[in-house]
Amino acid sequence: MLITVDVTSPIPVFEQLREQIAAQIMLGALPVGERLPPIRQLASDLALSPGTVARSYTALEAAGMIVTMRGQGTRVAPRDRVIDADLNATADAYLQAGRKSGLGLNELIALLRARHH
Amino acid sequence: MSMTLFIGGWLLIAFSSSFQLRSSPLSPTYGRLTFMLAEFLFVLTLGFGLHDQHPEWLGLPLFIAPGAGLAFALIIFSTSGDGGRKKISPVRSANLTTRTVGSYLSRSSRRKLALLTAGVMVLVLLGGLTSSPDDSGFHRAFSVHGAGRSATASPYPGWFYGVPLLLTLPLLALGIWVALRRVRLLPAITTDPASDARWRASLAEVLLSTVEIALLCGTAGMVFGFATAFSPLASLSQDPAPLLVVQAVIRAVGLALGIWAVVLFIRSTIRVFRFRRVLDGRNYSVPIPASRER
Repeated sequence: MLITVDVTSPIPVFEQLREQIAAQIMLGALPVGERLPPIRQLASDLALSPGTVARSYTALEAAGMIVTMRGQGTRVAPRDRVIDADLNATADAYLQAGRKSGLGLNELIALLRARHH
Repeated sequence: MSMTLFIGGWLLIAFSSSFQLRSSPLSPTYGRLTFMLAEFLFVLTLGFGLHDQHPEWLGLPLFIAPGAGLAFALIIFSTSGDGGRKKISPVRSANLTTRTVGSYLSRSSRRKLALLTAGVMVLVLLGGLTSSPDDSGFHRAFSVHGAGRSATASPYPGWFYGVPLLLTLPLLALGIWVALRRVRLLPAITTDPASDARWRASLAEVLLSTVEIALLCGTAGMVFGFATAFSPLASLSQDPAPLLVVQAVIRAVGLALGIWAVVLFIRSTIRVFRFRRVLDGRNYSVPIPASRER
């Protein structure tokens, strides 16, 4: 399962990381109990500072999406919210419509973010 | 011998620095490994040099140098930076697969290491328990007493050599532990977890084979030294010929183990340069970054 960050993007890197991991958890691609890579491993692979990755993990932990246990690493926390099929289909339709309009993923996310705020 | 090791070390250092000029994702690993092997050769050179300059140390540096030198080299491997990593793309991808140290160690490698470690310990115990003190009181002689006569031969691998050799074992364990931990944390050179795991396993195998080399050097020294015991035994025996044959065989085995260690070292160095093949060519595919997707 891949995650990609762009350090030139206006979105902070820790936020890009947080968003992508959160999305994988919400979609069920990262199942409950799945172990996330250690902070230093992810930081090394993405050539980021461990502090940046730690910030994303802290935010995910605060949101109750992951739990860190001493000796057991960081794992996906049990959750009560799941994305149902309808919401998935709506997201697919939104992405498709965006592509037709020639919008990139970041622009589509920005559009959603603007609406959300 | 010292000069050969020294030249070998310099050649590896030259190789190591040439890797820093290359842009391949494998270059930092090549550089790091060749530098580590060079450090190992330099410590061995130091061991031989000390042995030559201080004969009063009775060959002790030769017993300590392989283990201590490799432990030092492994720690250098785990702490050195990626000098060759120059250009980092602003768009980076990583896999969320968790890597563990254990996943890179094959069962056969673990078994081989355990057997060699146990072998060294058994030899040290055997040597220590059968040794006797020499004129200076060091346990590095083998004495035989019989029918009013006695004979002693030295150097014999008693406690004098065995204890320092045993002390290098925890150092080696520490060295390999930090080095394998470093292998786990090295930046991925491909986003394909299977290829990445193959590359890391291959790297771990090279590191483990260097530990085998150090253990083999110790074993070779001990085995070679055991042949000494047959000199006093032969001198007291009615028919010394079979004992002298056994002595020659034991010396040959010790020598063969030493040569095997050299062969393993050369094989490890060659394996370092085969990583590209492990990756099935240059498969460093990176997905289309989200921010650039149109």
